[in-house]
Amino acid sequence: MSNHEKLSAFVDSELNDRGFLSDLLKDEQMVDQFSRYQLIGDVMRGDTLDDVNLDVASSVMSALDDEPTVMAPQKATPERGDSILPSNVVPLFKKVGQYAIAASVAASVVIGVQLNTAQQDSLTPAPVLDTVPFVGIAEPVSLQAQPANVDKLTEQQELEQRRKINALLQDHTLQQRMLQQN
Amino acid sequence: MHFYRITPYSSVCCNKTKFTQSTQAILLACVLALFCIRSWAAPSEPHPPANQSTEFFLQQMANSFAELNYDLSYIQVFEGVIEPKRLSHGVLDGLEISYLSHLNGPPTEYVQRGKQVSFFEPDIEPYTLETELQQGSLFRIAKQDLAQLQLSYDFVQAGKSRVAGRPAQVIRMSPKDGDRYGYLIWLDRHTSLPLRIDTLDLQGQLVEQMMAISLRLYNEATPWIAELSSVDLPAVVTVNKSAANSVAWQLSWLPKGFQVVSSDSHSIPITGDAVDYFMASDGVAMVSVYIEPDEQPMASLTPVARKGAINLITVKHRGNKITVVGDIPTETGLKIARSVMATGNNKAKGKGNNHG
Repeated sequence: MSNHEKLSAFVDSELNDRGFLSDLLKDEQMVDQFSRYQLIGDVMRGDTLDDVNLDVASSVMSALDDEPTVMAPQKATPERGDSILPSNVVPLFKKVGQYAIAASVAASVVIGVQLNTAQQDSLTPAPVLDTVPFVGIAEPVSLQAQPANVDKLTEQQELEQRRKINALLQDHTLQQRMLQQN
Repeated sequence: MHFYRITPYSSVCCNKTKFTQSTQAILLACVLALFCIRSWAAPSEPHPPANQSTEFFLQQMANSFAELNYDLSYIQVFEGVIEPKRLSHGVLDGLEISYLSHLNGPPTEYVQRGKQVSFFEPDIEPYTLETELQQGSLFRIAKQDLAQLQLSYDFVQAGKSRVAGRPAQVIRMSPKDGDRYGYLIWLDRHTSLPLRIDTLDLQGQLVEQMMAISLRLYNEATPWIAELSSVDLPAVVTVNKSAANSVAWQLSWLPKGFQVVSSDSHSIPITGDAVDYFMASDGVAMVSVYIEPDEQPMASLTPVARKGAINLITVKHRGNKITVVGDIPTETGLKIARSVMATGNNKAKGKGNNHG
């Protein structure tokens, strides 16, 4: 019976040789073998913990001792540019935030709805950016009258219309306040 | 920085046990955040509560908005205009007190005390009405009647985000048809107070935005709220509604879910023009319809104006001038204006209920 067979039988508790244990402890190689056998048994029974001690550290350390020391290591550069691709995941709400910027530009364009079909031909449909109020004071409402009538629309009429619009907006607010009245 | 002493949480504190615990945690985090540099403050933020149903958030929003003590500073953005405002709210001896103030420009303030609202506006003598404080979509959404809104809008959770330094729950309030605006609502994860509301048109473009800059919560009504509870406010004005429902007109079309909530004949404040009037609402959007005789048949002015989400459209229709004002898309306003029909009868009613 070779030593390995004896060891195997000892691990399986099938060896009746009382002297074997003392022999085993004398032979370092056999002790290593014994611990490996036990580990195999543990792994097969699923008894090992996550941190199985395979004694990797000591082998790594000894391997490192043999390594020559490089004083100027080469910079590890990615082989291809695309290895640092930006993430494809776009934050969901980034887009929503951008609306604000777009809206601040777009919202100052006043939508003109043409209702009088008879005059439609003479109209220029170009949208007008109305960032500066017509009159000196800043008004809450931006207003675009029909461009074809600009020459006919006197300043008086223009003011009148602004006044009217402001009055209606104010009444709209007032009516909401009175609506809740009990 | 600290105007108010933040009192320690006591378990005998009123009936808001659902919120007080997290409120205390938030307060702690807020205080810490004030003293810590940003990287320290982040881990001290308490974990937001677990996921909840959309209905839970919306219900909690309505409760928190009416019951908690808070200072909410926010900006209202439309057409490149930014209006900063602050809403202070508190409940003192069971009385709900809110104070809304415009932080820039001419002083504009609103004080709600119980069922009375005082309006302090530039160039107008301050007055008080028995009404509710309703300024823009923030209030209408926060004080919403969920059952009514669900007729016209679908509510969907749209993920989590962060607004005003606080974790937020996003809820999409999308219209069931193309006749009204949609809303994207950011709610505070702890209290469900609205932190941001985007009003979006049918193309998903932003037409108006409310965004919180800071939210501070207090265990008790602040000294400012206490002061407002005893301050003298202008006398209550009672407005006699002129004979309601005597309007000889009818709206033959309104977007689904809209109801006529009021109708009368009155005169416009500045110009004094007499108009026949309807107001319709779907719970969030408010639409006014003005009908007046067209005095200048020669002039072909059809004004279109816009202020944030509010559109004003005027249509000439069979010798009458019909103006629709409201936070609805222009196309919808146009359709409503064209649906105005004479009933030929002085007892005509709108198709919905009368106002309540």
